[in-house]
Amino acid sequence: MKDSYVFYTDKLGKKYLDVFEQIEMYVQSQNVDDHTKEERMGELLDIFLSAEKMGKPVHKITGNDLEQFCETFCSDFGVKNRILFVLDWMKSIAKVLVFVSVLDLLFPESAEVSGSGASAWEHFSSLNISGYFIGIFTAGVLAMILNIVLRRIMFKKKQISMKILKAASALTAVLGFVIIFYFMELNSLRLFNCPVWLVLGISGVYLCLHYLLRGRHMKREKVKFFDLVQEESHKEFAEEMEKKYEKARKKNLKKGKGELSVGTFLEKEEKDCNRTEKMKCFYYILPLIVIGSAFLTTWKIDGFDGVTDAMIFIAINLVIQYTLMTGIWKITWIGVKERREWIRKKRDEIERGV
Amino acid sequence: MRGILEGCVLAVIAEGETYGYEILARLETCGFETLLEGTLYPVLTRLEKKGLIACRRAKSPYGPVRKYYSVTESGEKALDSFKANYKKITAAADTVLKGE
Repeated sequence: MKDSYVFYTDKLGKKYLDVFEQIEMYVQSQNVDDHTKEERMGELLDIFLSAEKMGKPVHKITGNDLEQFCETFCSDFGVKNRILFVLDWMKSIAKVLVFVSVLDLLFPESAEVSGSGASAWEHFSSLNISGYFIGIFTAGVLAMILNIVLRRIMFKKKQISMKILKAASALTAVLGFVIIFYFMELNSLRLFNCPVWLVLGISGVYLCLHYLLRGRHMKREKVKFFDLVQEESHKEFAEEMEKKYEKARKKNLKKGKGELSVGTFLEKEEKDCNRTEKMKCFYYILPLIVIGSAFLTTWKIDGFDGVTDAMIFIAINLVIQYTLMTGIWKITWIGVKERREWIRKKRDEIERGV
Repeated sequence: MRGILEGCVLAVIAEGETYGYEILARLETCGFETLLEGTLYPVLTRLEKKGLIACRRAKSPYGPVRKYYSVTESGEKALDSFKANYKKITAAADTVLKGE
């Protein structure tokens, strides 16, 4: 269910939208929890939409000093909101620690096998927990600082585009991974040894508590990635299709094939959509081919310690490959649905003679 | 000024269940135009935290979730107390300013 305000910002006119995005930039730089941000921005959006409908200029709502407006708008964000933000953020750390703990249980670093039949669960290994935690924590703090600094700069200098922010975010993510990897590899940083079951237990308990205390009501507001992709795709889709038709029409004329009618263009697009739909099975066969090739290559060079090792290799690869392919297919399918919707609307317009 | 604005917002909400834009519009017609600039939201949050107003969420006609505010029992008592104090203060201020 699309409850989040992000799905309705395109209803604002340009002037209101510009101001709204600036205020959003400011609020995001405050590092408050998602729930507070969602509520506050949702209310503001509703007021903006109502005011715009009544024909009021945006400065009647925000005043002439936007920075002053934002400072007052965020003046009640207190320590509690920041603590909740940190707790939400630590949920990501806990998820990573659960993941690495499970991997460490499956592939113990130093396992003492006591006779035959000893299972992975019977081995205790020590994670470089200090390394993981310091690495992730450092990366997270760096990301938070950059978020505050970048968004404040973007708030003050409106001409800096979203593309720069996205590029900076991507760079921060890469830097974050490098920092995490560096600290993980720092074996000298074993400040204390911690059994993997303890790390798994504490992280698991944290995630359960987080879900019980905050997760249930946050689930309602959480913007799903694929909903966001669909929304972003929907916003500029019509414009992109018009540009595509213009390009195809000019190409046709250049090649001397005559004028490309809208009807012919729509038929071509529909055939393309049908072809893409038929390719769905390809997205599920390709991972099997990739995994099969990887398995055979590894088996040929005696890369597996035994049947269990091989099975774990296949299982992990299946999970990763199918998750990736399902995600890619979903995004592709969103594009196909948008195209079909646009084709249907265009055909309606032609029939009505618009 | 903050106290007066809280009292006035409470008074508007006490007139009947309402939402953000309606509150702004009502206050604007009463002359609060230049004072608002972002102060409404922290005021509403404070009133909610004090338990003087309650809110329910519903989808607005424009799409995003809208919060509808209504006054609680303690809110009505607080409003009565505000009105009484306000009358006292304005009477005293009038006396001082008129030099009587």
